Amino acid sequence: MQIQVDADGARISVSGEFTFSDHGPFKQMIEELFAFKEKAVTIDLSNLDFIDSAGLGMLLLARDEAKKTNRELVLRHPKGQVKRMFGVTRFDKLFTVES
Amino acid sequence: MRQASEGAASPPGITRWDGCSADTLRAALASPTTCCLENVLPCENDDASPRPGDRLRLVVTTRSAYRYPVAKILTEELHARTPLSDDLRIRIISAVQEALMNAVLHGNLRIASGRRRSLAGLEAVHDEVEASLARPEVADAGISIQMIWDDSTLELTVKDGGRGYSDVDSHDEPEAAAFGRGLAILRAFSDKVNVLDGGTTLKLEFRL
Repeated sequence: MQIQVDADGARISVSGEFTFSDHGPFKQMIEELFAFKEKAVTIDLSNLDFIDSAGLGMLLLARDEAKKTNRELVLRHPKGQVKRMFGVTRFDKLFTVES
Repeated sequence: MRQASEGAASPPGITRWDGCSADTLRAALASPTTCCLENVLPCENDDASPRPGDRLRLVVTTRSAYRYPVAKILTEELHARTPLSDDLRIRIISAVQEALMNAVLHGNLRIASGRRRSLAGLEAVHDEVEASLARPEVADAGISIQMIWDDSTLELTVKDGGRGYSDVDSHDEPEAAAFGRGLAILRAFSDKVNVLDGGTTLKLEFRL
């Protein structure tokens, strides 16, 4: 997985595949999350091709970390396999998901 | 480049993978391969399955199952042999990934479930995974993935060398405790899920 940070827009774009072995980029994502001053941070998933249950679990951890500093994590534009995984695991009940 | 040892000692359709890259894995699995073993794993008897149909089997080390996109490559190779709809391709690759990571983490590496619910826990699990993969006797343990299909059904079996539910420290339903969210994904994406051999073998069925 690769991440790209848009500091002005409080947005983190992720691309590629997000699985258990993407621990390094995930740690970077958390650090970037805490660097934002905005209350709402968007994770743009439009270029994420694949996610597994470990990746979903890490998104939940990111959400919990955001909550600790009164931030909200918004997931934007999941597609393909990622959208199917969100549907199966009812992720739309756990996050604000923007299509 | 085809990473296969198809010399006099190798029966037709059986190849060896060097374990070096995703590209060499694709080459070793390309048709007409029916069985591919990673180089460091010992030869094993690869008798034809009693179930009729076409077949593709891969036996990889725990290290490679963790490092390379095995689920993606296997699904691509299946698609090259029997065309899959986009829906089926998404369901198969997602299910193979869950089954494979379960075999790696909870099977061969014997990582207890439920420890990834905090950042500190996740960090500790990753450290433990890296430490385990640095030990050849653990990293080189095999995981078998077999796909058998005919016109109507795909049967997919993932087998690890772990101890199954004996490692699950929970009073919950053992399957749910072992697989967590992954089990819900397997049940949603497969037409049939069977957990066998005390949790060391997972058999999935898909209607084609």
